[in-house]
Amino acid sequence: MSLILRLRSWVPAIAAGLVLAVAAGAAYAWRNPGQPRLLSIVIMAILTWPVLTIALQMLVFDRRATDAEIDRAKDDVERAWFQEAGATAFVTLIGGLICVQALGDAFRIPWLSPIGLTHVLVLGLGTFALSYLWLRRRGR
Amino acid sequence: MDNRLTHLRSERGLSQAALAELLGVSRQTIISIERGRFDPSLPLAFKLAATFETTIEAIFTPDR
Repeated sequence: MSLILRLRSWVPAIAAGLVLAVAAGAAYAWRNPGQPRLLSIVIMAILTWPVLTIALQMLVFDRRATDAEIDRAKDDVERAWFQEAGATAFVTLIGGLICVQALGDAFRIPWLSPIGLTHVLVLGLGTFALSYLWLRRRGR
Repeated sequence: MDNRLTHLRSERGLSQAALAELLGVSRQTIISIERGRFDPSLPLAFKLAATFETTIEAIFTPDR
């Protein structure tokens, strides 16, 4: 497929992404009345537009290509690493969060307990990333 | 699992990248299989056997 055709296939996602990004900016401006309204909309739109465009292209407009790519990659070693890293992260997340909560309660450390979204993200994504990198290094 | 993939591939003058392209997998997958660090799925093993016009047993030997 030529570059122009490829770019053309992204136009609906880019347009829909822009609409959603502006809507996200408007919602943010409405929720934060103290902030400069137009600036809030523009900054939120700029920040969310690329992510929304890619998400829309992959999940809505070019779903078949995404499915085909996932199907094509089912025999790849990277998929095995991904699954193994996911399983490791899941187990570590449960055990780790219990430890974090227990330590926070025992030593009265306010940034450890109660468990928040940040703890989950740091522990979950951190373990996943480290586990994946380790598996990749071992597999080479 | 031991395998003769490197030998079969070299015999046919195929690079790892070329074999990966033929099978529709990543080059890293071929590297990992050749080093015995990744056991391919059954469909991939069949594809490998078909590519080298042989049987799965002729390529892979289970660890004893």
